Order: sequence, then C-alpha cells, then structure tokens
Amino acid sequence: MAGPAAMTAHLTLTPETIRPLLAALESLNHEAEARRVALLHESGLVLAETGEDAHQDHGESGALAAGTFFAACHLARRLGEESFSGLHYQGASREFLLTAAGPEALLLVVFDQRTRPAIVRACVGKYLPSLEAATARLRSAPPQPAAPPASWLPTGPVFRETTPPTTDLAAVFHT
Amino acid sequence: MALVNHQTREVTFKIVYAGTPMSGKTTNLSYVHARLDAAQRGDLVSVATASDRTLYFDFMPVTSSQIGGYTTKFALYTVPGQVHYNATRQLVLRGADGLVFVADSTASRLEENLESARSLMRNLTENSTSLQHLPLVLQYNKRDLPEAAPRAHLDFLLNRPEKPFQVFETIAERGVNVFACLNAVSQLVLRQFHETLAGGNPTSRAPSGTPPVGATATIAS
Repeated sequence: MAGPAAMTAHLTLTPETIRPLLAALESLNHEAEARRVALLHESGLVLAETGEDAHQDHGESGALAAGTFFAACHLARRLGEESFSGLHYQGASREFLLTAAGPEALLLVVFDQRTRPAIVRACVGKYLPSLEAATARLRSAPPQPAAPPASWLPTGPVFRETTPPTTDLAAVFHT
Repeated sequence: MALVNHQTREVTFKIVYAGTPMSGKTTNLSYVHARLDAAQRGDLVSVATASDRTLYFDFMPVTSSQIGGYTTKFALYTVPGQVHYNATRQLVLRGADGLVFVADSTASRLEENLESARSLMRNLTENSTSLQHLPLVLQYNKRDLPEAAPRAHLDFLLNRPEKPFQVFETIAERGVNVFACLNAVSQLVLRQFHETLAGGNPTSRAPSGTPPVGATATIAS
C-alpha cells in the first residue's frame, strides 16, 4: 500500500477535490442499491461517505473497517494467497464489501437484501477507476486553505479534563 | 498524515499510544474517555480478547475546540503491546501523526520496555518513517508502585537521544498526568503541522522548552 511519501504528506479535501469523489460514491450507492458507501484512507480516516447513517459515527467504522481489511489481507497471505483484493461479509440483515481502491484507499459498501453481492461487485468495478483517480488528486491539492488561519497552534490546553467522570468506567467499552 | 477538509473546515490527526505490554495504554484511553466532555469524544472501541488484552487496537475519536477556525479532530489509537502482534502494531502505526510511548515503571520490566521501544523503532523503519518526522512523548506509567524504578533508570534506557523527549510520569489508573501527556503530544502534532504548512523545519526545537522531535531521535539507544 502506501510508500514513504504517503506516510508524511497531508491529504487535502477541497470542494473541488471532494466533488468528484462524492459524485462517484453517490452514483455507486444508487446503482448498487446499497445502504452506505465510504471511501477510507488506509489509516482508517474517512475521506468521504454517502448513504444512510453516513456521518452518524465519528470514525469508528472507518477504523474497524481498515483493521478488518488488513487483518484479512495478512491472513490471506499466510494462507499462501499472492494477492488480496477485498472481503465480503454476509450478515443476517446487513452485508458489506471491503475492497482496495488504489494504493492507499479502501472502499466500504454496506448493503442488504435489496440487492445482490454480484451487482455490488459489478458497480464497484465500474466506479473504482474514477474513485482511484479522484483519490490521487487529494495528494496534489495544497493543504493550505485559500485564507490560511493565523496559526494552527492552540493558545491553551487542547483538551480539558472534566470532573467528575462523564461516564461509568465499567460501561466504557463497546467491542 | 493529517487529513485537511476545507469543505467541512476540519483537520484530522492520528495519535498512537504504543509501548510495553500491560503498561497502561488502554487505561490512558479509558481515562480520557471518562473525563472528556461527552460532546468532544466518540465511543471507545476496543478490539480485545476475552481477558481484556488488546487484540487489534483501541480507538477513540476526540475533538478539540476550534483552532485557526478549523475543528481539530484526533483519532486516538492504542496498539497491542504483546510481542506476537508485531504485524498488527505496524499496521496501526501507518499514517500516525504523533506517538506516545507508554513504559512500565516496574523495575522488573525494564528489559521489556527496552524491547518494546526497539520494536517500535523497527516498525517505524518498516513503515518508511522515523522519529525525525513524528512527534513522540514518553510516558513512565505506574509511578505509584513501590517497585517502580527510579526515573533516571528509565531515562538511561529510553531517553538518550541528542535532544531528549518530553517525559510524563503518570499513574494512568488514577489519571495522574494522563491529560498532560495527551495535551503535550497534541500540541507537538499541531506545531509540526503548522510548521509544515508554513514551509519551516518541522524538526526544530519547540517553544517553551518543549523537547522536539530530534534530528537524531531514537528511543532505546
């Protein structure tokens, strides 16, 4: 996946770079009759998403999807597979397809019984080239906004501790 | 690898807590989760074994107040400390913008701290990055234990680069210095981002005596 440049450079989403991404994702979501489509960076960050429940979580799904993809990828390699392109999970009410989308992005498609995995795969194949091209353009966009802020440096603590605890510690984890 | 979204006016960074097995990485995140305003954080997602050992990672998204007119988000991760999860650690370290290395102060675990630090350096090298480009703070946890090694011993093992790293002596179970450590790494990450945008040298010395990402930075030298 990513090379040295990808480890250090920033990815920049501007209205100009995100428009083609969202257009491709929305078309894919519509044609595949999927529930939700998200383009993720391999680090787990959500680059763009559309469909139901999009923007409802705060990145948890992206982190888990990236982890799932790479765990399956490593397992496949250990089993002797030379290449790994994706993963299909079939649940009782929801299914998802996770597939590589270029050198450093992943595509997550969530769907249900309204459609078929083969249709979803066909639609993914149709839109992957445009998604890969749009993702590559994120690297070339300058990270500096047109009107840059005076400083990205906080004047005080970035995070402040509250007392008492805001949650019951025993109920913190959601596995 | 910061994600800058000018459309939503958000910047997202990734901070990874790495370190010795059972040193308190997950405890750091659970304390932050418990003590951060609910509006500023998402769920703490933990992919753990039945015995609560971190299997893949812990993840928690947190949001700071606006900085420079942009909402600044941090994706906080821990990696499993156990030796046999090396591949997992390397994957989770991908795209990290900042690191916290959590060491166990227990005197009998100094060798494990050293091995974990060396493993982290190997993981970074294999990911084609290094501490020259990645802010890091050190956390010496479990300072309340009677068998805790003197800080000087931990410094000798883990903190002898040309320009030493910022160190926090913590008791993560009680939250002592947990937020101070998170704030320090967050500020280093923001400072590096700021300097990168300004076209400056992101490895230069931080203000207010904050140890920087050293030009010859390494832990476990």
